[in-house]
Amino acid sequence: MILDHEEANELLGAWALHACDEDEGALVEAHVATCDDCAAEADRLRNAAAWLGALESVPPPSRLRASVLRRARDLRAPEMRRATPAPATPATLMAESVDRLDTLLRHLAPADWAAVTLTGFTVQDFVAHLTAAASLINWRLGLLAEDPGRGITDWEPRTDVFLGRHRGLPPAATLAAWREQVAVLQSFVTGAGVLDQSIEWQGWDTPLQDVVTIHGFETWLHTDDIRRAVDRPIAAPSPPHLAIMCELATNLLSVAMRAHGVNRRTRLVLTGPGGGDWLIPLGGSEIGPPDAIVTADAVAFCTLVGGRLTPDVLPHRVEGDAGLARALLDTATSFAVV
Amino acid sequence: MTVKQPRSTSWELSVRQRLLAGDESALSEIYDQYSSFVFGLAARVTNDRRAAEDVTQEVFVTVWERPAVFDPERGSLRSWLGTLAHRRAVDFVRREEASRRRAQREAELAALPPDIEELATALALAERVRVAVDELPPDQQAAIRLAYFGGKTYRQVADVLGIPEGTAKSRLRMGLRRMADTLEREGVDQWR
Repeated sequence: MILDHEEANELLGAWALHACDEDEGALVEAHVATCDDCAAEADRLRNAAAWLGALESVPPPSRLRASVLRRARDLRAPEMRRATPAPATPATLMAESVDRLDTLLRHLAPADWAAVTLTGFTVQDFVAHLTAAASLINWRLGLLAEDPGRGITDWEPRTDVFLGRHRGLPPAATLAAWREQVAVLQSFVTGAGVLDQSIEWQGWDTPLQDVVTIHGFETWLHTDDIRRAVDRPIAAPSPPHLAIMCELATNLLSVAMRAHGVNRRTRLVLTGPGGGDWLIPLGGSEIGPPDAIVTADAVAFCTLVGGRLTPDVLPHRVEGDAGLARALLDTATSFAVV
Repeated sequence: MTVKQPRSTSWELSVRQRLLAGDESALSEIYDQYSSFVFGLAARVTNDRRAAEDVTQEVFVTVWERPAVFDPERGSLRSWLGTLAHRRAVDFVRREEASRRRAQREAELAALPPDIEELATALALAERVRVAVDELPPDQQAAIRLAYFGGKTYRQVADVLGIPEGTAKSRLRMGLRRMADTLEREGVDQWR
């Protein structure tokens, strides 16, 4: 027996709800396999039906987790305990930050989107702000037919364009706009060799890898801003990515200290996984002991660079010239914009 | 009619890749994200805690054994898991006469302590889905509830409501269509 289009189409609702008899369900599926219109509607109705399950969320008993994993392992042996981690790059740093923010946003209740962060921005504002940043990179790279920021490249007015557009829109629209821009950027930066080019960034000709690192850095920082606003625990980047952030921060710090005419050298020791040891300014030719040594935790230092801590409250240790050490920390806080 | 396909998140795509590669941590991630959804759904339909545990186990084992079946082009991971869970739960209902001990088990379920983060998501989603269900005309709503949560076939739905089978079919279809419209308008697929 075969169902004609009308008969099968009438049954799609029942089919999506698993409310056909066994045989009838199979007949519907046979028709759907040959009919594009019915296939599209079948997917749509089945997706709608699956949402009904969201009405009843109940955590299973905790012992079930181990039993499910054990059963799964029995039936198909894992190839490896963990996928071999890809080498950390600015692109994977950004991907990690973006994924974590995406996960956090998916877990927010609607009211959370209006929660106000320490900076005065709401959660939704921050997502709009990150969309402003990501779309600017995309625009500079020529990846967009039209700039959603209307060609405004200065930081604050550009952010204002996005805030103006998104305040009053449903959070889902803001989330979708952000996802769209980061998806464009991510698919571009994972291409081979693309990170070596430079683009104009805040008035400077900047290597794309630094721009991408800064965007990953900023995304992490704002994710923590949002976590604080909605009472979730903050989380540090993974150590290999933290190392990339520290490398960039110390580079910028070198350039800035030189620009301030500081030639005496500070040894900066950043502790914890992802940390390291730098002489700032970098590349000085003089050999000899540094004039000051500053020791701090790598995550805390990046938080300082992001403008979320001041030198006064950063836990750190200074040996040698206290004035020089202070100048270094003050300079480190001067990069933050929002 | 235009069909709006939900976009897959990069997480969904990468987790599918990792499952295919045999990375066990991908399965635990999916379990942690969706086990309350799957278990809650199965418990509601079966009204049987043991059965809900079995369904939950079967669903996640299927995810592990046959990850290639998940087609990100056709819907979200949540939707796939929901479909797998519902199918199995309905099979259980049709096999057993679970209704006998319904009252006793409902009391059991109500006493479960909720997980806070999961609950927040669940509430956010449930609120939106409830709006979509509440907006349905009462006759469509009743038919959908009987079929989805009661595990009844459309013939049984027709029987219970005292309406012709054709009417039951069309109420189910029109009701779901309308829900899909509302959910798409609300942008629920963004929430996964």
